Amino acid sequence: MAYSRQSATAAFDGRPYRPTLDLNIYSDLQQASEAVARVGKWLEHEGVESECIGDVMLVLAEAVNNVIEHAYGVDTRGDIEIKGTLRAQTLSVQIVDKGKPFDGPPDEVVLNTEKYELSDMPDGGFGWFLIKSLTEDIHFSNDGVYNKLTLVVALRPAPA
Amino acid sequence: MRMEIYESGPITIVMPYDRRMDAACVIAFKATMHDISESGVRHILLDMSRIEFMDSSGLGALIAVLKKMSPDRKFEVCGLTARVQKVFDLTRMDRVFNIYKTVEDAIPGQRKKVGIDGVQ
Repeated sequence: MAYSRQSATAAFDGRPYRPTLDLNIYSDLQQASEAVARVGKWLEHEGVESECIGDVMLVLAEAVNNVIEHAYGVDTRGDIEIKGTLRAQTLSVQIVDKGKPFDGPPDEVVLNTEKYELSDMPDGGFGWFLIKSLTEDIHFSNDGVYNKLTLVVALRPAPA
Repeated sequence: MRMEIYESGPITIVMPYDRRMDAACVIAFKATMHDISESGVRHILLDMSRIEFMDSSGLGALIAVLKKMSPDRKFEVCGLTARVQKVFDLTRMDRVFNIYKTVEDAIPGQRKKVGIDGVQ
């Protein structure tokens, strides 16, 4: 893991410094869980407010779980790179894999949980809804080899 | 998944020790909850006060337990930390689950529901 840090407030005071975090994991749910926790600790260390850290952890978990379950599939292991870059009041996190080509994020995700009786309530399918709810911007590309998904999440500094 | 399980009158209280309820642990969580529900309990209260992070897999596991227990038996949750509460709120599952602030609030006779009705 490459890890850089200059000051706990650098992401918020306009200096050009951009702290980054690089993690490389296999497509394994336990490794994904630990990577998400590491990103959370990193942002805490960088002085990011707790709710924003939770948002980042959630969108990252959902995106990486999608890679494990859909791009590689549960029976295939592959590499996943997670690269976080802190910018002025945003975090950009890129997830790169070499699994099956992904069509890209859905244009619109509507969650109609109110319309279901409990017996018909889906217990899945919330992932992209949560990602879209908590991100400012989403970029996706596939160059024939790599799926590259970039999620941009707005950040606030932790209270002094 | 390590959990503390104890009884309070008719309620079986289950408190996971893990700090994360995510895709990595949902299979173990579902298996444990299956064993508990199959043991004939009528009312399970899940104390989530130690869980700092939950993803949609964790939420899906809770929905599965709720569906399994309904309509004749109860499955309720309490002790939601801020990040866990946010997942319930965003997905509107705060309207589907009975959510209490603490274990004590969830005990019949002193019930104080935390929900859209605003009763505290």
